[in-house]
Parts: sequence; structure tokens; C-alpha cells
Amino acid sequence: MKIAPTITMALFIFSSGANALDVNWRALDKDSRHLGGIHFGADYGSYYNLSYGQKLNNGNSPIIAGYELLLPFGDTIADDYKMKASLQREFWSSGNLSFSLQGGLIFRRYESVMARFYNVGADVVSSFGYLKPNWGAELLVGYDYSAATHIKNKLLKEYYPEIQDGWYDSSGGNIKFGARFNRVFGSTTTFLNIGRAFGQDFEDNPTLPFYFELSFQRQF
Amino acid sequence: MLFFSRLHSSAITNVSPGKLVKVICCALLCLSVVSCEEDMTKKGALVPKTVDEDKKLPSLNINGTQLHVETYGNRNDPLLIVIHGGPGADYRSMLKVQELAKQGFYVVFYDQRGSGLSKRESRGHYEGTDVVQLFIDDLDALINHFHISSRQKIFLLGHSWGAMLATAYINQNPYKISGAILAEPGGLTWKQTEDYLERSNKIKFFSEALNDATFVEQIFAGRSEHEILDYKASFFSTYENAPGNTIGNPSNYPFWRNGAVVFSETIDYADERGFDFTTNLDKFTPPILFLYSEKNKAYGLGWADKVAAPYPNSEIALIKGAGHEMIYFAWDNFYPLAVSYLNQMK
Repeated sequence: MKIAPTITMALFIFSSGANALDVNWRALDKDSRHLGGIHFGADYGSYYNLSYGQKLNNGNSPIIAGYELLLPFGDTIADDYKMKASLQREFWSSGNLSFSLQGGLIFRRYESVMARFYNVGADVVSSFGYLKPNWGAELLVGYDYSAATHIKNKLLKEYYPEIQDGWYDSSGGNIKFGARFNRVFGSTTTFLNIGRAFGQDFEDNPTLPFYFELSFQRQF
Repeated sequence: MLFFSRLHSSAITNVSPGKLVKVICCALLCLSVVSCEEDMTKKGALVPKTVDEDKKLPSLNINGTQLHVETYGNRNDPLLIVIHGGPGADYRSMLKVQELAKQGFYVVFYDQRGSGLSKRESRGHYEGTDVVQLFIDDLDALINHFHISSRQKIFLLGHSWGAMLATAYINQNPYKISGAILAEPGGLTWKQTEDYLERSNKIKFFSEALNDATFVEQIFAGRSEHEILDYKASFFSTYENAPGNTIGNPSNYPFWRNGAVVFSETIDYADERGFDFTTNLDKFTPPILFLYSEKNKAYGLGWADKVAAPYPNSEIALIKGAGHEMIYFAWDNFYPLAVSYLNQMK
């Protein structure tokens, strides 16, 4: 199946090689077009994450194209990862109050002794909060949707030879509620994200239901 | 790549945000359509069919459900009921026990309610129910089905949760059972069990094992169908069997199908209501064979002594060269002890 590399390439092209999840819209420097970040956190499991963002225009309401690569901690590097290409924009503001939306396409790879997956999905995150040039606090609501997954079973095929490999349809999604705080130090912004994830049916919830992330972002 | 980047960047700047959202949605839709997907809930696609879906599987309708059941040996011989671990696992890794039929036992295997290849029940089926009592009642109905005369002795062989369930049954029926082999029950009270689970499933936060178990939860999420939940549960077994695991298993071991719903419903029930399977054990006078494994670092002789203590008459023995899954990985060490005990009690 050649579709997985095709999807990966499509995501690279679509995203224009850029991404940044966290943005303090009041702290954006008009002379800088790029945002680079490093993130550490726990969401489903522990991970580290690199992000890059590019301002596509520098007007009063810039659009930021973002690009992320998330790798879980563990002995085997890059057997599991998540790539995300996103666009985000502040849609409403009044004084220091701000409302923004981010939408992204997601590609995930997972491999263990049991099976290997290539997964395509999407997410949308809305944020509403109070932003000042040197700090901010926001509430976040997000939905992470798993659209299609290619499954190649490994040990599970030994256990159950009739198991069927191939592309499968949606396997659900997670809803997240959280908060984001940021503090600006010159051209560097520190973000702290905390929250809770639920399965979309609010019954089949993640084993580690809480998430948090600490990130450092620099404008240049 | 740089060419695409610049081209796209300049083009996208002139597009309104609403259009951008549409572009994202269209791209996602296209990716979904071209992939020619299979339905994850299709019977038999990702997990084996259960007894109500595949009539060729041996089964028994009992206590309001349909269980996957197999028997070996002469029906008139003493009964040996094999009780697997979990909750939510199955008896596939214990199939070698069928050799005990050659020693003159009628060996009965069954996948517990909602587990293995037994019929799946909905969450609502367990809500408001004494889930542990349901397991005990299933076992009682199974014993009554196969028990053909008052002279026929009944033995239980339980592993892990199965040994706990065997004890729960003995606690309620101390005069009905002639003997039992108990292999590493985590605990005989909920408090003991929590204590054991804390040691045996210690979370290594930055480990490959944890991420192999939990990363899949962002792919399979918020669906209630048994096919998806049971498939997802398969990946959690990699955690306790990963290299360097606490319970001493050398690798993964075969299973048919996890019972995700019955697992979570049982754990939720125990967490909420607790249990104590020792309240009546002083009335059970036959000796039991209590086994613990050499490589399970969360068990050991001290814990075996503590867990076995409520039994008035217990023989504690070590299974060398194995961890928690001793019946599968150390059958050659397990078998002589089991045969010696059972023949003595027969």
C-alpha cells in the first residue's frame, strides 16, 4: 500500500512546512515571521515535541500555519509519532479578551510487537481567554478525530491468523477540556497546558485522562 | 520542498479563513474516501467471533449468558474446573492443563462471562449488579451442570484472578469443593489486591512499554463496540509483558480475545464496593496447593504466606524458572506438582 507515504507527503505540502500550537496573539512581534518551539508533556503517554510556526500575513489578524512532530518517550525512537499541520487565527477580540480557532490535519504512526498503524485524523481547538503582551490565560476545548487507520497486525496475526489487515474507518475521537497559561520573556514565551481528555462517548476514556505540556517558544 | 512551501504560503495568504477550513475538511474527506476502508466493527475482522456469532465454537448456555466451554476426559472422573485470570482474559494460555485428563480427571475449561470467546454483554448488563457474585454464580452453574453424582469430587485450578475467583467460590461453598490449586492470586481481599497491583503494575512513565500501551488510545477512542474495545485492550497486555517487566514473564503469550467491558466493569465494581473472600475460609479444611513463581518480583514467599494465611491448611510451593504466567511458560515445573497434589486428593 503506497497511500501512507502519499498522505505524509500531502501533509508536508499542505502545511507549507510550518506549525505552532500555542500562540499569545498579543505577544506576536511584527518584525518576526517565525515561531519555533520545544515541548515536553504527557498526553496518552509521555512525549517530546518540536513545533514550527510561520505567520502567513502580518496584518492585524495574522494566520499562523503550524507544523508539529511529536515523539513519545521510549527506547525505540520514531516507531510511534504524530505529525500535525495546522492553521490558526484569532477570530474575535475585545480589549484583552480573545477567541481563536485552530484546525489541523494529523498523521500518526504506531508500532509495537502487536501491530503497526498508520492513522489519519484531524483536530480542532478553540481557545478563549485573557491575553496581555507579557502573559495570558485561556480556556481550551478541543476535539481530536481519528478518520482512518491502516492496520498491519504482527503478533496478533500469529494469535488469530484470520485477522484482516488493511484500511479501517473511523475509530472514534477524544474531546479535551483544558487551560493554557503563558508568560513572555522577551522573544521567548513559556506555555503551560493542562487539562483532561475524554473519549467522544465520555465512557471509553484514556487510561491517563489528564494531560499537561510545558513548552518554550521563540520568535525570530 | 522549499518551492512548494513558498508557493503555498503566498497562495494561502490571500484565502479567507473560512475557505481554509473548507480546504482542510475537503482534504480530510478525500483522504478518507481514497482509503477504501473496512468497518472496524465487522465480525471477525479484528478479533475472533464469540460463541453467539460462531456456532462451531463449543459453548454452554448458563446463568443467563453463553459461555465458551471445552471438556476433556471421562465425565465420571473427578471434576477439575480450570479458572483463567483477568478479569477479561481467557483460558487459551492454560490449555496444557488438558493433560491432566490422562491422570483421571474430567477437565473443564471455560471463558468467564464477557471474556475470551464467551458472549459479550453490554455495560448495562453489569450496572447495578454484584459483578463478583455474577462470576461466582456462573461458576456454580457450571459446576452443577457437569457434576453428575455426589461421589464425584470437585477440584478447582485457578490462575491469578482465577485463583481469587476460586477462593471466592470456596468461601461461599466450603463443603462442596474437595481441593484447589491456586497460582498467584493477587490478593483475597480488595485491599490486598490493590497492594499487589501497585507493585506488579508499577508505572514507568517514560518507558516504551507504557507508550506502546497508551499511544493507541488517541487512535481508538470513545467507541462503545466490543470489537473495537477488545482489540484495543490487546495492546495493554504488552505493558505487563514488556522486557524487564516486574512479574517475570519472558514475553507475551497467546490469547483469543480480551473482554474489555467486563474487565472495566469488574475493576470499577471492586474499586467501589471492595470484596473479602476470606470471611468463611476457616470452614474449608482440605489442603490447598498454593503456588508462587520464582521470577515475579511483586510476589515472593512473604506475599504467598500472607495471601494463603486465611486457608487453614495450605501447602505453599515455588515454581522455578517462571514468572506470573507459570502454567504457560513453566508447564514442566508446574505439572508434577499439580499431578502429585491432585492424585493425593483424588
